[in-house]
Amino acid sequence: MFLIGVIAFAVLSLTAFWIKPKYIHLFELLAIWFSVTAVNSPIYSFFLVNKQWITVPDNKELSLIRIIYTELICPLIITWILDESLAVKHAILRYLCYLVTLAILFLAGFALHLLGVIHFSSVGMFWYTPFKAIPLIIALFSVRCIRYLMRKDGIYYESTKY
Amino acid sequence: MGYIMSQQNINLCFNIVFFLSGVYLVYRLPQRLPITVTFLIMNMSLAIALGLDHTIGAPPIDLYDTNIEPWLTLTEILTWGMYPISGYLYIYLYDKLKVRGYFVPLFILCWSTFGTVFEELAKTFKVFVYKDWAIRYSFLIYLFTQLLTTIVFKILMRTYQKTKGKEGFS
Repeated sequence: MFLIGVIAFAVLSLTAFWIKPKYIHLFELLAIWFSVTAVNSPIYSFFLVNKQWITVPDNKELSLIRIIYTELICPLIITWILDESLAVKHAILRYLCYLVTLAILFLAGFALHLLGVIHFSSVGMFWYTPFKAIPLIIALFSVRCIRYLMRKDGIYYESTKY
Repeated sequence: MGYIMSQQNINLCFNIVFFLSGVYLVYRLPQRLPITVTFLIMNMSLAIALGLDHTIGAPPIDLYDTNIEPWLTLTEILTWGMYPISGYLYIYLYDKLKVRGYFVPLFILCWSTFGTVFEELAKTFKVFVYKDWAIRYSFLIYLFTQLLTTIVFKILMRTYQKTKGKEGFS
């Protein structure tokens, strides 16, 4: 039942994101999504296998939930928030949005811990948010890269909201 | 211990040779595609491959390991570097050969077969160590991945052509 709920949540969130008005270019959105997915996946292995900061139950349903979170929900959260925040002109507001992103990711990780999908050790819980900042930083870096490359390719796109 | 060390060295050599050859090939090929599209296709290839390696290739599903050890090692970086190169070469050839119509599935089939053969070779050099995995599953994964790459490439090119030169497009 829990798995069904997570799948339904992921599908509906993706649909909502699909239909909502976007403030940044498709190339920027894809750059964020792909970068987050690429960085997020090895972090899990690093936590689980290298450092053993988390343990996972031997349950296929729970592992599917974790996969959906890592591969769909987490990139979606970061892409959605960056789509809203990168178009904001005020730097302080933008930085606040980044902090909110980290807070949401921490809460999501903590929720997975409470629900038994993953079990954090105390060290793992401590390092979770700093490590989760890496996908966010890489996403911001990839946006910079793609904007530079877009200008080189002759695509001029001003993404502004406020 | 000596056996493991020699296996690790062979594995490392395989990774270095193919990574550097791939980088050289990409560097030497004339630029055909927009840099943005190239960047995104490479990024996507990396995301899909790492996504699979660290979900179905990690506990508790754990169908296979990469580069002998189950944990992350520095050798992984070379293997990761090969994924964007293969994605780029696929799209480069797709564009260069002007694959259209019924040749698209044929091209996908050929590249998936090539990918499967290359993976078999990589398996010999312990780049992939199968547990509950088989090469025939990889063929299917390649088939879906190439199809997805082709679709994304078409969308990217259409968007590129639509937005190029337009100022303040929204």
